[in-house]
Amino acid sequence: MTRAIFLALTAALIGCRSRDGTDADRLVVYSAGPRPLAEAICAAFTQATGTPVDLFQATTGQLMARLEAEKYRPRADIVLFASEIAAAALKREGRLLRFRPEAAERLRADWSDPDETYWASGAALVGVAVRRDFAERAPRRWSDWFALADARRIVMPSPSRSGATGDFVVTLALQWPEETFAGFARLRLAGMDFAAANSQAIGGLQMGAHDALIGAVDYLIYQQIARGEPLEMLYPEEGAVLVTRPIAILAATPRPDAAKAFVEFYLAPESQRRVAAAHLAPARADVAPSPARGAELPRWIRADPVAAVLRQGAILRRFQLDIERAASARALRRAAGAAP
Amino acid sequence: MTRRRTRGETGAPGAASVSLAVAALAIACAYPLLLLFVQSLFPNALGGEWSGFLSPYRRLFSTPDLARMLGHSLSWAAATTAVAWFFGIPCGFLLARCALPGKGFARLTMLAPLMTPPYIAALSYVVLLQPGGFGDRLIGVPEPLRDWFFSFHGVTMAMALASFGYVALGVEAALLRLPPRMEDAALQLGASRPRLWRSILIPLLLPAILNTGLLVFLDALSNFGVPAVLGTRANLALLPAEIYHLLTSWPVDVPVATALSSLLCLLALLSLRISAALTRGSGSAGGRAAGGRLVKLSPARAALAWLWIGGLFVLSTALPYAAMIAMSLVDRWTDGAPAWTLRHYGALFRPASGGRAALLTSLGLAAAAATLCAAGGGFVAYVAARSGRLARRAIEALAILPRALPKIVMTVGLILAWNAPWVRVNLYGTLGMLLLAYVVCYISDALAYAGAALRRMNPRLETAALQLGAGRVAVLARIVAPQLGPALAAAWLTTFIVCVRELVCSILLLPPGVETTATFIFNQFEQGDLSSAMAMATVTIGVTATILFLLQRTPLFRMKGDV
Repeated sequence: MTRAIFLALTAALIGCRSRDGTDADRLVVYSAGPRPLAEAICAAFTQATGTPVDLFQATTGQLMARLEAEKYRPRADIVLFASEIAAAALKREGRLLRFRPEAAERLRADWSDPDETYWASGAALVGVAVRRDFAERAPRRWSDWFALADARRIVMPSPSRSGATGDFVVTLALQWPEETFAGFARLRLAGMDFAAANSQAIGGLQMGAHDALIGAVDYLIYQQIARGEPLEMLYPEEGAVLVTRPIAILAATPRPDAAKAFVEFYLAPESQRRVAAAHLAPARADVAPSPARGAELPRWIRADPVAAVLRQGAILRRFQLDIERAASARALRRAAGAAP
Repeated sequence: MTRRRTRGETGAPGAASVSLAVAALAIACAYPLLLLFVQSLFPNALGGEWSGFLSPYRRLFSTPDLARMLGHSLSWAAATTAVAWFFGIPCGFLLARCALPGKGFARLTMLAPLMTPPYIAALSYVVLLQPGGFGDRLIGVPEPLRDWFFSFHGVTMAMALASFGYVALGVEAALLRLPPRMEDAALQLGASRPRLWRSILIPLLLPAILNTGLLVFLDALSNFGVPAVLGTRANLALLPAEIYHLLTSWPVDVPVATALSSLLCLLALLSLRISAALTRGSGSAGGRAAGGRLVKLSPARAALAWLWIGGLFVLSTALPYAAMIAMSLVDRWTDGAPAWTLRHYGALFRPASGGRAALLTSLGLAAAAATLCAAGGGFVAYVAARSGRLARRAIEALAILPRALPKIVMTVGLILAWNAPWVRVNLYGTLGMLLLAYVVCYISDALAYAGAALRRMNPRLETAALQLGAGRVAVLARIVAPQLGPALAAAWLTTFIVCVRELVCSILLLPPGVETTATFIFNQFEQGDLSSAMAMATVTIGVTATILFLLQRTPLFRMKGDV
């Protein structure tokens, strides 16, 4: 047996021969969001410029954890988040490089940082996804959703587990503080269910376990619709929540020129058309959104990133304690009664 | 055992072995843990600032709900362990001591639940039991059952069903090494069956029961996936979820997350000490192992045994797998009814999808990690068992702590450790880093199994060999290793299985462009492609099961106790 173990060990060591992680000319990109999109744009960039790209793909939260763990010896050159709050937080710590790409004029107004540290590469809108057979009966305004008497067939991804839903709750709570908490408390009281992740909630919608998904990220729903799923995306009249997907260069990058070239490339029409094809809203005003999405963006609201960075923790904590984990129906009723 | 030993040429390992074991553990486990601990004391220590001493702990106690989370976590982990014992101990006995037809298959059914990534199993239960799910479509799920499942009870049940295999295998391995002399004597002296269990079997099995129970307990204590998927309805507030939240949402707070994790470490050490105190009385029973002698079961009893094993198999494996496979075959849902297809499987193995590469990476990494764990863990356990009390305690504690921490904390610790400015080895960012992480996180399996086996092994044989002039390497290779064989084989199997499905370390540590099956599945989920994710999960489990089935036919893994 010793010999067997020895052989296995040797095989393991040979099998796991490491590749060199610190190649001087490789660009390191940390990206959240649709993986095929990031892969395609990175491959196109390498083909166009000859610069090889190491793409590390995870959720925004996981990227933040990794960036924090690497704080004392940064590895990434570019970050691409699925949330503006994450980028604003890095900016606050002075970890982003100021840079104005040539495409800046072509980008949609006020989607990006006025101080030019991060730029929207695209955006998603957060609203309500419904089954097509429920669409006719579905409320059209947030206030009507919040007033539903029976919410047992409504689901929402948990804001402390799904980044996009977290941004959605923070934005609503900054815009309409009291109405938002009272509204979600009322929905919870009426039987609304929480799911651990977007995909789990979407799955429940497809299977018919739920009629409506509050806090749905629209590009994921459009992907499902494009596959023929009988779903529809609704944007309540007061405004859907705009969640931009910022791209930024880390200040510690040893390769600022390659990094700048990458940002330019991501904001160029060719890449932006790929963004649109993934059903995200492109950041360039001169690139048309996908047909499923439609040319016109609905009315939207967006959180002030500075306020959002400061208040996010408190808002999500309050949501978690008062609504998700409310100890009793009475506690929920108290939270729901806070506003008319 | 310790009392009988004298200084000099005894079974005690030499200084070289002890330092080797301690050094390996210090670099692999203690170094990242130490960095984490320093950060929790001085939040900016790695940045060269020594300000804010203890501030994370002060902030920790202002965490709302802390006492409630702690209470929930403890009671949940304890309940899970109790249920896993209830399921697993009879299974272990049936496997080891009874002439049960179809035993190989029965053993596979114990391993099957370990193969399923916990969040996949949880999600399968959701798909099965949620309103309008598969269960409703087929038979209609009674409302009370649904309410029961989506509560504390259901979450406990799901976790226990996922991990009772540890207990069953540990108890089986222990029973196989147990000499029948004492049992025979007791029975011949007229002891009743219950008396036999109470006075002889339970005390002798206690190390195995407690060690495997500890694994289940620690897994539940640090698990995030199952409560995250099932627990949202159950409204369970647990510590790992809080820690995960602290590390993945802004502001990322490594010091407070670490301080919170140190509570989990404390609980782990406490349970380790309690289990050690409980096993102190139970010693070894000398003599030859049971070998092939088995209890004949009457047809009625055999049927009952199969009802137990089969019932567990249905609940832990057949039902969730059926839901998983059904999901992987769904083309699309029209009016809540599925249309079926095989295309998700075809898509997995198209070269561009990377599915096959991910599978091969996972299998290779898991085999390497399991081998390293079995060899390293066996060696460390041997050194620990045969050296002084202090060294033993230190080694046991070091190896168990990474298991008690939520994986994301351990991963952050490993990144801090191996990406530090003073590290000259270029390990971080390579596959080797992930291999190290697997070994660090799962070496406790091998230690638990080997430790239980060693406690029953008498060191006299080793002493005799040494006095007859055999070298220490020869003692290790020709006396210790063969006796540890079954325990290490069991450890290899469970480690291999959990490494194939490991998600958190893999996501954060994989080098760019490389995927494992778990990250592949996770990415498909993120893109909202449940069917592809379930197809990959099905293929992974199928391949793992085939490998285990083939391994069981080799002599090493057949788990015969005879030396």
